[in-house]
Formats: sequence, C-alpha cells, structure tokens
Amino acid sequence: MTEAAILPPGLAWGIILAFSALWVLLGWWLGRGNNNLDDYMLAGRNVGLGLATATAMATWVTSNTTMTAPQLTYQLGIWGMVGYSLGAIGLLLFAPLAARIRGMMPAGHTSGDFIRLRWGKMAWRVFLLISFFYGLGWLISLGMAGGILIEALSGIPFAYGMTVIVTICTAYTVFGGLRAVIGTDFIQTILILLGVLLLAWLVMTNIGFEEIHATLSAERPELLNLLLPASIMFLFNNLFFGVGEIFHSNVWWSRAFAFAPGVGKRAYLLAGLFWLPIPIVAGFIALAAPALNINVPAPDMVAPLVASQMFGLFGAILVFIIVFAALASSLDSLLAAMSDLIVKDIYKGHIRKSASSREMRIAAVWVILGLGLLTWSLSLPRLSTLGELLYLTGAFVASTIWPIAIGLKLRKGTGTQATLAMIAGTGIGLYSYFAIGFYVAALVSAGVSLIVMLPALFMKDSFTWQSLNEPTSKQES
Amino acid sequence: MTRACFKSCPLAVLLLAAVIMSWCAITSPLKAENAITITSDGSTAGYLTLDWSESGATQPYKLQMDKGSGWQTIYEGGDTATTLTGLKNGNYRFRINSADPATIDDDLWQPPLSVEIAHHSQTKAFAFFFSGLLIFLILLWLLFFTGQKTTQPEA
Repeated sequence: MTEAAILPPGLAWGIILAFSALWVLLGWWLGRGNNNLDDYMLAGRNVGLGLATATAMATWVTSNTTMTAPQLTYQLGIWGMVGYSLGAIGLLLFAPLAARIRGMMPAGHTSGDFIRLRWGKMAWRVFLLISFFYGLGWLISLGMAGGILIEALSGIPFAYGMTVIVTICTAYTVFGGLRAVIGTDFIQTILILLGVLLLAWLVMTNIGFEEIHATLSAERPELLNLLLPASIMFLFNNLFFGVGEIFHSNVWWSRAFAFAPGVGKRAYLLAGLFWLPIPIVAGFIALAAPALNINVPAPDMVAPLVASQMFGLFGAILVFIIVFAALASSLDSLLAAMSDLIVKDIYKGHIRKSASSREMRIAAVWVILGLGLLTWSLSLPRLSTLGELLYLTGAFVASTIWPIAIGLKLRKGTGTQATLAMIAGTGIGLYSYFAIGFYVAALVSAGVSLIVMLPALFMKDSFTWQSLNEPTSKQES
Repeated sequence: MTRACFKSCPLAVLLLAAVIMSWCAITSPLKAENAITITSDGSTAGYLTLDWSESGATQPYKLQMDKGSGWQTIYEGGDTATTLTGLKNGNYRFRINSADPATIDDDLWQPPLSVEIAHHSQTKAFAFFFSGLLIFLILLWLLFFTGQKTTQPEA
C-alpha cells in the first residue's frame, strides 16, 4: 500500500523478535510469584506508587496516542492535537475516585462488581455488554495499529506484523497475569518517555517551523484554522471519550483494586500529568507531512511515515520501539482486564456460580487466549481506520460516565435510570456518529446519559454504601 | 437464568443490533461506482481518503484534482490511496490514470469522482462546544462539590 517504507524488513523482524523475547521472558519471570487468584488478577493488591504510576501511564499511552493523535492532527488540525491531549482529564478526574473505590470496595475485583451492587443486575448486564464491545474495539485498534506500524515502516505485510504482535502480547499476559502486565508496563513506560523526549528533540532541531507553517497556509489552510467547525466540536468529545473510557473500564478499576492503600490517587494524578504532553509531541509531527510532500495512503499511517522520512533509519527504529512498547503495554493490560471481567462477571456471575478459585484461574487463561484469537481474527480484515474505529466506541463508554460518577458520589438514583442512561446515551451517540461525525459521538452520548440521570440528583437517598462491601467468598480468598 | 436476565435481554439485543449495524456501516466503502472510491468521508470536516486500488489503472499512478480551476496533478507514484486534509468548502473532482504516457487508458478519466466539501456551520460547532462545556462543569461539580461520606475511607 505504501512505497515509503524505510526500515529493512530483516531489521524490523530483528527488533520484533528481541522485544518479544524480552516481554515473554519478563512475563514468565514476574508471574512466578502468583500463588492465588488475587495474585494473578490483582497482583496481590499491593502495588506501590512507582509501579502504579508507570502502569497507569503506560496503559494510557497506547498506540492510539502515538498513531491516532497524529491522525486527528492530520484530519482536524491544531485542535485535533490539543483535543487529543484532553484525554488526560480522564486520568486526573479518576484519581480521587480511585481512592474512594479502594475504600468502599476493599474486596472488589471488577468495575462490573460495582455496577451490579450499586445499580442491580439489569444495569450490570447492559454495562457488561458496553464494556465488552468497548474492550473489543480497543483490542482491535491495538492489533491493527501493530500491523499498520510495521507495514508503514518496513513494508512487511499488515497481516504478518499484526499476527506477531497479538500473539506475543497474549503469550506473556497468559504467563504472568496482572503482575507481569504491571512489571512490563514499568519498562515500557521508561522506553516510551525516553523515546518521546528524543523524538521531541529531533522534531525541534530538524523541522523548520516556518516551512511547515508556510506549506500548511498555502496548501491546507483549514488545518491551522482555530475556528474549524469539526475540530471545535471535537474538543469536548475527546474529553468525554477519555473520561468514559477510564471511568467505566476494568483496566482502570482493576488497578484501583491492585494498588496498595493510599497509592491510587497520587498514581493517577501523576500519570495524567506525565501523559498530557505526549499527544502534542506525537500529533505535531503529522503537520510536517505536507511540507515533506509525503503521500499518506491512510490517515492512521501519518506518524510513522513522517518520522521515517524526516529522521531516516534512526527515526524509524525510534518510532518503531516507542509504538511497539506503547501498544504492547495497552494490549496486555486490556487482555488482563477483560479476562477479569469475563471470568468474574460472566463465567462466575452467570455460568458457573460455584466456580472455585482454581477453576477461575484456569478459565482466565482460556479467556485471554480466546480474546487474543478474537482480536486477531477481527483485526485481520483491516476494516476501518484507527480513529474511526476508536471513536465508534466513544458512543458506548461516554454513556457510562453518569451512572458511575453519580453511583460513586451520591446515594441517589435507581437501577432503571442507570440502565436507560446507558442505552439511550449509546443509541443516540451512535446515531450522531453517522449523522454528524465521529467527533461528536461521545459528547452526545454523555449529554443524553446526563439528561436521563439528572432527575436522580433530586431524589431521596436510597442506597447504603455498606452494600458495596461484598464479602469475599472462601473459595476466592 | 433469572427473571432479571429476561428483562434485560431485549435491551441487550437492541444494543447488540446497534453495534452490528454500526460495524457494517463503518466498514463498507462509501462510493463504488467510480474508479476512485472514498474510504474515509470527512466531507463535513475537510478531509477525504481516496482509494484507486480497484481502478484498473497501470502503475505508476497519476491522481488529478479539479477544484474549479482545471485539472492539477496532486499525486504521482505507486501508492493506491491518499488522504487529503484541510480542504475548504467547495466542489472537488478527482480522476486517476497511469502516469506513464504509454499506458494511459483514456476510458479511466471518465467519469471523475465529484465530492462537495461543506463544513458544519459555526453555530452548530459552538452549540456543541458550549454544551460540552456545560456538561463538563456539571461533572466537575458532581466530583468535587458533592459526595456523601462512606463509612470506609481508604486506609
């Protein structure tokens, strides 16, 4: 598809093999200490501040940050870049909630646990469906990003690169559970931060700002237009998409349960602050594409194409390592968190209520393998661009913001309201995705969900917080 | 399965149907009657991704655009797609052929693909912006100025 590949395929395979071996060995090594289900699913509930901050940041720096932020900059201009960085607000707002969650549900396992106990079974099932589709969409976007990255930089066909990346991440998540995910996240964070700092320095020293500005002004003036309508609409959309992703997803709840007491709030705040500039740096390089006269076959390929064109072989290797680390750190986290949700809420919650800890541990392995296979099979046809796929899920997740926020802060509202808020928000959000554009789906979903939940604010208190502290069964302890 | 499951099944089915329809919609090419197809349509946001892999033209390709002042070549090379961004309001036409004069196929020039770029109005854009701001302020109020105490603060 592209003729701009700069990385020799042999070198690309070498990097992939070296990092794959590192992640799998680390996964195996870190997973040796897993003695029970809590160890496997929640890393023993005792993760310290350093690892906690690193895992929160590494998970939120996804291949979407490094590849979709440039795509949105390329499509929506300056505000696309700034809007993407507003995704940090989700982490910052979740910080105080993480502390509250840890305190209210000391024996909790998943975000599904909270919805079931707070809003009842009907809301729980709708929430699980939303969470599953979101997780699957994110997994597919990560699998696709791996294949696109490798194809753009080395010319290796999309299917091969995607297959290797999905297989490797599935393998080390199976070996080590959440402990391995958090451990590898720490190393991946260091790689991402060093790589992005180096990339920022290269951008500042290699690109002529004036040339970029002059080319954009002449050829693509709308990208510099601060009143570009779609990008104005996108700003709060991305904010609510990020908030919805983090508030509802078990990726973040499982970490809130896994972090040691007192750690969650500071870890999420630090992670949000560290994350904030990354989409700006990643997004900025997309603006150089017109000045460099690069053809961009698909908008989600713009970052690796520009980096390799500007910085040559060294830049290509650097971008390759950053994005590989970023997508591996998210893919493993998501596989682990989704498997927790499926094992705890679907397998034990619906199918086999008497499942022992050992049976759940085995089920978790099979679920991770199954999710890996599903991700591979749905990524293979490369049916959409990363941005379009990702923002489709925005309509789902933004509908959960109010049921989660009101549910955590107030003792008001009913399960029916929460259920309707999620369904109406998702439905109308999806409609707006097609009727208006991907850049409003999450905003509309959050707005509709708020309207449905608003009467709850004026209702009498009807919930007791103690109901959230579900006793742990002997089999799970 | 419990009664609650049966009660929530229709809602879940509705949601599932919405997902399947959405998936089908985002994965189908938008226009297929021309040698060029639009694979990502941002005509209300100023961007388009064009694909000519099924055009039958011979490599290297030449993509031309006419925005009212005559045909201009905007890409020459071996790729089979391109993404155009930052487009202003107006009518645009696109056509594809071989860049090699020896293999040009005159039939490929017709019909060109016509696309109208029409950005959303500023009124609509700011309506969304201020709605978003209002919702965000309500969220901040809820998170930082409300909150009934739990009996179990974090250790």
